Amino acid sequence: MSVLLAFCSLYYELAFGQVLSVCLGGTKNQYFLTIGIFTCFLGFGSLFQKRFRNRYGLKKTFLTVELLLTILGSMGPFVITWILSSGGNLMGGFGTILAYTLIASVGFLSGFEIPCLFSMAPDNHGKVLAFDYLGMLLATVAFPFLILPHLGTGAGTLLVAGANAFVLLWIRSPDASLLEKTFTRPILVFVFASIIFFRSQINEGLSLLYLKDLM
Amino acid sequence: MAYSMILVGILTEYTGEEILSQCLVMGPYLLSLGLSSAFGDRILPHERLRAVWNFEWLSVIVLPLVPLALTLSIFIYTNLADTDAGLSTLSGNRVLFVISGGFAFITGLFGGAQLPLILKDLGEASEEKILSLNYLGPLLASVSIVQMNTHAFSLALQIYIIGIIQLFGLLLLLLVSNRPKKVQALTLLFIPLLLLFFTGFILPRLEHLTIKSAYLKTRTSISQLLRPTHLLNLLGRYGSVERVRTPYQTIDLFIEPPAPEYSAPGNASVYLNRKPQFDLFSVAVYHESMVFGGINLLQRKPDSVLILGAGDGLLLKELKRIEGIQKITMIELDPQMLQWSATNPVVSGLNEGSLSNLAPNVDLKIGDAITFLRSNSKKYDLVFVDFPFPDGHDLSKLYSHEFYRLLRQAIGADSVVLIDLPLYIDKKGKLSMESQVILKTMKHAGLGDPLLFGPSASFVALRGTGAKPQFEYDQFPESLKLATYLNFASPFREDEVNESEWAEIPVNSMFWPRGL
Repeated sequence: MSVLLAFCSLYYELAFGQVLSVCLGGTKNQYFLTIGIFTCFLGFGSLFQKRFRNRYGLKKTFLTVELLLTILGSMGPFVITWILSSGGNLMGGFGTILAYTLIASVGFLSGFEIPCLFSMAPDNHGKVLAFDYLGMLLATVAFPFLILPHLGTGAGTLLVAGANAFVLLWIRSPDASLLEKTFTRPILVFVFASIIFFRSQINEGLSLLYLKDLM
Repeated sequence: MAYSMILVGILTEYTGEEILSQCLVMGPYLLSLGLSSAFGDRILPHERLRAVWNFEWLSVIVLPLVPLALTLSIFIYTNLADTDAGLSTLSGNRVLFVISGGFAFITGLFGGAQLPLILKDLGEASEEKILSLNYLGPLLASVSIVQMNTHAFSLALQIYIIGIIQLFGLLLLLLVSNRPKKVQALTLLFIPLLLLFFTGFILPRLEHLTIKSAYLKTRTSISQLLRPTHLLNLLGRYGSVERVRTPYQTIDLFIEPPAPEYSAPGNASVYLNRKPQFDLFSVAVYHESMVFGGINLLQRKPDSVLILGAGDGLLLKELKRIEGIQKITMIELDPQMLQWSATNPVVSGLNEGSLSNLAPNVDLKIGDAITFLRSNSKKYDLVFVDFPFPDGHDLSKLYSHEFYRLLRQAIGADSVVLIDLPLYIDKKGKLSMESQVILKTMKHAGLGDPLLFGPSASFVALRGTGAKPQFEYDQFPESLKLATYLNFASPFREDEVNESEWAEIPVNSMFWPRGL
C-alpha cells in the first residue's frame, strides 16, 4: 500500500509539473516550483494530520484523504489546463495562484499518508518508509519512460487516480458489504481498461480544453 | 534539494531533456534521502550532536564538488565516446543519466540523516516546529533556484550562493550547540570555504573546455586522458567559445581560426543549447531559401509577414531586400538573444544591423509565440517559423498539433507558411521517424499537404488552402546564389510511406509528447 500511495503522490506532482510547463512555459522552473510547493505542503500535511485524526479517527481521516486525493489528482491536470488557458490566463495571475493552490492541496493531503500508515502498522515504520521511497523511485522512472509516452498526461493521471481509488477500496474492504465487494473490483477493472482504450480521446480532451478559446 | 536541482540544470543543458533529467535525478535523490534518514535513526543518543555536525560539515565539503564532478564526468565521457555516441544521441544520453543518477544518490545521502537526529535530540515538544521548518526548505530552494535561473546566474555563482548559505547554517549550528572546543571547530569551516572557492574557480574553466571539446569533437583514449597535457593544449589554443546564458537558453558562438596546414578556411558557428543553428557556410543559403522560397510560393509580394523566432536577425536582413512589404511582425521569446545578435560583431555583421537599426515596417514583439498566437486575430500573407529543432520538452511543444492549430488561425486561404524543419533521411533512404512524426502532426492539425524541400537547408512549405505548394522555378530572382537555387530541389519522398506505416506514426501533443 505504501508503494502505491507514494507512487500516486509523486506521479501527481510530476503530471502537474508537466501541465504547468505546457500552460506557462519554462519546463525546468515549473518542475522546481511544483516540487518545492508539493514538498512544503507535504510537511504541513504531516504536521496537521494529528488534529484531524484526533477529531475524526484514523480510518475515517485516511479514507477521506484518499477519496479527496483521487478526485483532486484525477481532475488536477484538466482543471489546471482549463484555468490557465482561459482568456490567456483566467483572472490574470490569480489563475496561476489557483493552479499552485491545487498542487499545495494534493501535497497537504499526501502528507497525511505516512503518519496514518505508521499508526496502522506501528511496528513496521522501517518497512513503510522503505516502500514509500521505493514507490517514489518507481514513479520517477515510470512517468517519463512508461506513462507519458504510452498514455499521455490525461489518461496517465486518470489511471494513477484509479490506483488511488484501488487503495481506497482496499482500506474499506473489511467494512464493505458483499454486494460492494462483488461489484467494485470488476468496475475498477472496467475503468482501467476504458482509460487505456480511450487514451487518445482523453488526451485530445485535454488539448481541446487548452484550445477552447479558438473553438 | 538545491544541489539536486543544480544537477538537473546541468543534465538538462547537456541532454536537452528537461523531464527525463528531472525524473532521473529526483528518483535516486529521494531514495538515498530515505536510506540516509534510516541510517540517522540508528545513531546512538550520545553521538547525535557530533553526528549532525559531522554530516553537515561533510555535506558542505562534498556537495559543491558534486556539480564539478558531474561536469568532469561529462568532459571525460565526451572525449572517450565514439563519434556516433555523442551527447545528442539516445545512447549518449543514457550514459549521462546513469552517471547523474549516481551523483544525485550521493547528494541525497548527505541530506537525509540530519532530520531524524535533530528530531530525536530536541524531543517531541519541538517536533512540529522542526518539521515545518524542514519542509519549508525545499520551497525556499526551488524559489531560489528558479530566481537564479530567471536571472541567468552562472553555475559557479549558484554554487557559491548555496554553499555560503550552507556554511552559515553550519556556523549557526556551532553557535547554538553546547559543543566543546568551538574555536577549533570554527577553524574547520575554512576547509569547505576554500573548497567552495576552488569549485567556483575550476568549474567555469571546466565547463568551457567541455563545450569546446564537444564542438571540436575531440576524441582520446583513457591513457591520454590520464596525461591530458596534449588535449588541454589543443583545447586551450584552438578556437574560442563565447557563451551567453539567458533565462531561456545558452547561446554559444564558436570561432575556429583558419588552419592552412589542414586546408581549413576557418568558421564561426552559432549554437543554441548546444545545438547548431548556422555557420558562415550555411547562413546565406538557409535564409535566402526561406525568404525567396516563401515569396515564390506566394506568387506575389506579401503585404504582411509574421516571423516566429529568428532572434538572430538574419531573416529580417533578407526581408529588407524585398520592397513593398507593409508590415513585418516578429515574435521572439528571448530579449537577450536579440540584444546579443544586435551587438555581437560577428552576428551583427551577418545580419547587417537589421536588429540595431529596425526598419520602419518592422514590429518587433518580445514574447512567447504560443501566447502571441493564442491572442492573435490577424491573418498574415507569409508566415516564417524559425525555431530550434525539438530537443527536449520545451521545444517539442512548438512542434505539437496544438501549436499547429494555433498557427492555422494566423493564415488566410491564400497565405503561405514556411517552417524550418531539419528533414533527416534514414539508412533506407526514407524520411526519419522524427520528421514523419512532425509531418503527421501537421496533417492532424489540418495544415494540408506539405512541400518538403532543401537538400542542404530543409524546410516545409504549406498553403492556406491545404493544397500542396509548388515552386515557379522561372520566377526566382537572378541575384540568388547557385547554392540557394539548388536548395529548392525536393529529394524527399514522403509519399513512399505506405498507409499501414503512416497509421503507426504518432501525433505529437503538448500533453502527450511522442516520437521526438
